[in-house]
Amino acid sequence: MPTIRVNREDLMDIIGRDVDRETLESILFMLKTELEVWGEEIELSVDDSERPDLWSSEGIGRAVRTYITSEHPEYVVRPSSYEIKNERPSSRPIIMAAVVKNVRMDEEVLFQIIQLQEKIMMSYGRNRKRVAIGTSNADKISFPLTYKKGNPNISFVPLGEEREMTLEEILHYTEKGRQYAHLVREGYPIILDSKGRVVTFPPIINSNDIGRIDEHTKNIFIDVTGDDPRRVETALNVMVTALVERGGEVYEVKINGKSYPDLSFRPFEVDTSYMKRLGGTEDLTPLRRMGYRIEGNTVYYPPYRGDIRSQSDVLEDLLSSIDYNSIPLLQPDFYTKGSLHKETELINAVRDIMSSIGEELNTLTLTDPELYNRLSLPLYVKLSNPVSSTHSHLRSSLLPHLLRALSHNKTLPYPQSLFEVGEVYTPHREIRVAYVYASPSSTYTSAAQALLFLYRKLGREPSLTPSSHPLFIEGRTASTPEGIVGGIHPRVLEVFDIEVPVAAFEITLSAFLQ
Amino acid sequence: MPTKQEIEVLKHIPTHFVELNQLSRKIDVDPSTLSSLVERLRSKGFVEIKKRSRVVWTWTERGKYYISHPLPERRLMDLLREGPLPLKRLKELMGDELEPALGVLKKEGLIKIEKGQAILLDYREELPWEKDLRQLEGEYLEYLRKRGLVERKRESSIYVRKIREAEEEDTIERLTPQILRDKSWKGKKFTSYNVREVPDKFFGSKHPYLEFLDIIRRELISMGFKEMEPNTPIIPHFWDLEVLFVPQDHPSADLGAADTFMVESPEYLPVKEEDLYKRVKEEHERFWGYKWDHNVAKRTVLRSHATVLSALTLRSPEIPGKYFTISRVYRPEQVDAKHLPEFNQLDGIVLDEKLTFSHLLGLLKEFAKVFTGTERVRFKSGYFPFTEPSVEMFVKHPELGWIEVGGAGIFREELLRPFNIEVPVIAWGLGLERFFMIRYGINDIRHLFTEDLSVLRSIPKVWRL
Repeated sequence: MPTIRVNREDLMDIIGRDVDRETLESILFMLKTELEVWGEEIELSVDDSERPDLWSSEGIGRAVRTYITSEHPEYVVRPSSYEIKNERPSSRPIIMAAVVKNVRMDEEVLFQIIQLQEKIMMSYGRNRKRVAIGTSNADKISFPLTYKKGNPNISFVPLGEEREMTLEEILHYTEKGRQYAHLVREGYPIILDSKGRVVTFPPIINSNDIGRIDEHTKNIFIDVTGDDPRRVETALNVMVTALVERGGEVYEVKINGKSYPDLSFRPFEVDTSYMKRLGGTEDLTPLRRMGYRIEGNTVYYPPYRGDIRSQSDVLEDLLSSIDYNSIPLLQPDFYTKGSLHKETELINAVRDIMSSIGEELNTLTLTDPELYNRLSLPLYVKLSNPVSSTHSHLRSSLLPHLLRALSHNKTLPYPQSLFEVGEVYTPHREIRVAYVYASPSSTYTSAAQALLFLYRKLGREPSLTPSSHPLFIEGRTASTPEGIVGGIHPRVLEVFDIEVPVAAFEITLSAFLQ
Repeated sequence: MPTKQEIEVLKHIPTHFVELNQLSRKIDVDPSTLSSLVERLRSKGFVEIKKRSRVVWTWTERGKYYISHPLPERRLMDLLREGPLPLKRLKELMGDELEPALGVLKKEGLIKIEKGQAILLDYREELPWEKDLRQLEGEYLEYLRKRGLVERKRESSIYVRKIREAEEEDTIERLTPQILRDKSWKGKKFTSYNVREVPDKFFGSKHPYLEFLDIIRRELISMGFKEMEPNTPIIPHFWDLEVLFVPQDHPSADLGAADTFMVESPEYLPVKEEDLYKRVKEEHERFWGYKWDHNVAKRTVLRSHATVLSALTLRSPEIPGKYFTISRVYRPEQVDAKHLPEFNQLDGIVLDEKLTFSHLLGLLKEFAKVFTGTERVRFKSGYFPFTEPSVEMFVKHPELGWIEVGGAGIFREELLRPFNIEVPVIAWGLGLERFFMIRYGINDIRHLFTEDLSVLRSIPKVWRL
C-alpha cells in the first residue's frame, strides 16, 4: 500500500482544474486511494499494489482528470535510431526501454520521477527482484547500447560516489550494492554504451557520469529490467506515460529488432453477460472515465494497466466508474437457516454455568515460556519469529494464566473466583475450561464442588480418582477422564506471591462434544 | 452501642443538616466536646457529617481600627471642607494617615495640591467602599485588601444530621437460627443497620468483550448465517495465503517480511488436499508468472487472517449458503494500546447463483446498521489480492468522523476454480476489537484481554449493540 506525496498546485495543474477537497476525495475513493494529509502538500495512500500508474502526481492527476472528463490522452511513439542489443544476462534476461524528450523538468518533476521509480521497484518490483528501473540523461549516452553479463572487473563511478569501482567493489562497498547483491548471484547484468562505458548496473546502481538525471535533464533514457515481461512492460509504460503528462515526447528504442515502448491501448473482449450478472449493467460506456475506449463489446485499456487480466478486473473498473456509492443496494433473497457451530454451543453452555460461580477472563493464547518454566509445565508450539519472548509460544494450559491473574489482583478483596474457556495447543487444538477459587477458606472441596456442579449441569456424573499433578497438593488432587482438580500447592502460590489458599480445576471439553 | 451521653446528644440532632456551632449553642454543649461526640456517632453509623468551607472577608489587625473610626480619606475630606490647609499643618493633625489619604483622594480627583496647600475640589458624603464589609462588592473588597485593611479567609463549618435512631434497650442485632427457633424475637425491635454503606462484592459474570462477540454471533444467526467449522490456527502457509490467490512473492505474503508468525516445529505441514494444492499451484504459476516454492507453501505458520476459515469452508459448502466465523488471528506486532500480536476477526462468505455486487454492498450496509446503528455508510474501491471487485466500507461516527469498518469483495474466479465452485462468492471481513472499543469508550486494546479484575469490573454488562 504505497503512500505518495504530491504538491497540490502541481496536481491541480495536471488535473487541469481546481478540484475541492470533497470532490477530490470522492473521486479518489473510486481510485482505491485515500487522502491522508491535505494542504500545500498532499499525502495519498493507494491501496492497490498492482496499480503503479497511480503512484505519482502525473498518474493520480491523469486518473482524476479522466474520471471527470472521460477524455484520455492518445500516445504517439516517434521513430528513432536508438538501439539496444540484449544478450539476455541470465539473472534478469528482460530489458525494455524508451527515450522521452523535452520533459518540462523542475525540482517537483524530478521528485515525482524518483518517488515513482522507487515505489515501483520496491512494491510492484518486489524490492527490485522482478523489476528494476534506471533513468539516465539520454544526451550523454552514445547509442547503440548492449545489455549483457558484465566482467566483474569492469569499473565505473557509481551514482553518488567519487571514484571508479569494479562491479565486485560496488557489491561490497556501496550501500545499494550490499542491499541487492543477492539479486545478481547468477552474473552481473550491465548496460554498456557504444563507447564501452557502463550506463547502469541493474538492479544495483546507475553510472554517476552518464546514468544520472537532475532538475535540468530534459531528455531521459529509461531502462527497465527484470524477469517478468508483463511487469517490466507495465513499469516502463507507467514511467513513460507519466512523463508525457510533463510534455515529454516519446521515442522508440529497438531491442533485438522489436520496438519499445508499445503505448497502444490493449483490447479486451468483455463478456457482457458476466457484467450483467455480477454488476447489474451491460452498458460499458462509463468505462471511459477509467481511460478505456469502447468499441462494441471490445474495450481498449491504457498501456500502463498491467492488472487487467480477467472479466472481474473490468467489472471492478466499470463499477468504480459508475461509483460504488450510486449502485442500488440489494439483500440476498434466498433462505438459509442460521446456526452456531456445536463447539460454540458447548462453549456457551459451559460459560453460562461457570459465570454463575465466577468471573470470566479472556487472556491471550500467545504466552511466555518463563511462566511455564516456573511451573514445570510443558509448551508444545514455539514461534520462529516472535516479536517478544513474552508472546513466543502458544499456551498449553489455562491455569497458569488464571494463577497469574490472581497474582495481579492481590490488592482486591477475597474471595476471588475466576474462570476461562478457551483454546490451548498440546500441540493439537483443545477447548478447555479452567477455574480458580482464592479465599482464606478455599480448600480442595471448593474446586471439587464447582467441578461436580459443572459436570452435573452438563448431564454427566464425574468419577473422581486420587491423582497427582505438579500444580496441586499431593493427596488433595483428583482427576476425571477429562481433567484435574485440587488444592494448588503452596510452592506454586509462592511463585505467584499469592498469600491466600487457592483451589482449581482444568478440564478439556472435547469429550462433551460427542 | 452508643453511650448514654451519645444517646442524649443524638436525641437533639435533627434528621436534616444543622450546623455544629449552632447546635452547640442550642443544646449548650461546648463545641469541642460536641464535635468529638458527633464523630463517634458517625463512626457507629448514627449520623452523617458533611463539611463545607466558604470564603469570608475580615478586617486585618490594622484595618480593625477603622471599624469604629473614619478612614484616613474621610478625615482629610472633613478637615478640608472648611477651606484649604497647608500640608505641614495636615501632617501635624493626621500623622501617618496623611500619605494614604492624599493618595486616595488624588486618585479619585477630589483634591489638588497647590503651593504646599491641599485644596478640596469636591466633597462626597459616602465613598463606595465606606460600607459594612458584608455589603461590599468584590472589587472594593479587593481594593481594601490591596491597602492592607481587609483580608480573605476560608472558614469551614461542619453540618450534621441523624440517619438512624439510637436503639432501645433489648433489641436484636443479628438474627440467628437460635432466635428463630426459640421465637425470642417476638415483641423485640431490631437494631438499625447503616443501609447506605455496603462494601463491594463481585459475583459471577461473563467477560464483556466475549458477551459482545456473543451478540455479534446472535445477530448473524438471525440473518441466516451459519457458523463455520472451527480449525487450528497452526496451518501450512498454503492455507493462509496461496489458496486465497495471494502470490508467494506478494509483499504481504513474503515470509521474510515478518507479516506472519512462523512455527518452529514442525517446520513444514503437508497439505492433505493434494488435488487442490496442485490446481492452486497451476493457477498461480499461470497468472502471476513466478515459480512456485513448495517450501513457502508448506511452511508452518499461525493464521494471519480469518479468511483462512472461509477458504476452508469452500471445500464443501452448501449452495446457496451463508457462513461466518469469529476467529483469533496472529500478526507479529509490538504490544501497545493499539496493537496486540493476536486479535479477533469476523469473516464470512455468501454463495449463490444470483449474487451481484449490489448484494455485497446491501449486505455490508446491513452489517453497518446492525453493528454500528448507523445508516451513514460510504464505499471505497479497495484492493485485496483475493477479491475483484473489492470494496472498503466506512461508517460515520458522530465524534470520530468516517471510520473504516471492513473490507469485502467477490472472490476471484482464479481462486474459486481449484475448488470447482462456479457460483459467485461474496467474501467480507470486519474488525471487531476497534469496533468494540469505539462503542464502549475503551482506549486500550489490552483491556480486552486483561488479567486485571478492576478493569473488567469497570465495564458494565453488554446485552445489546
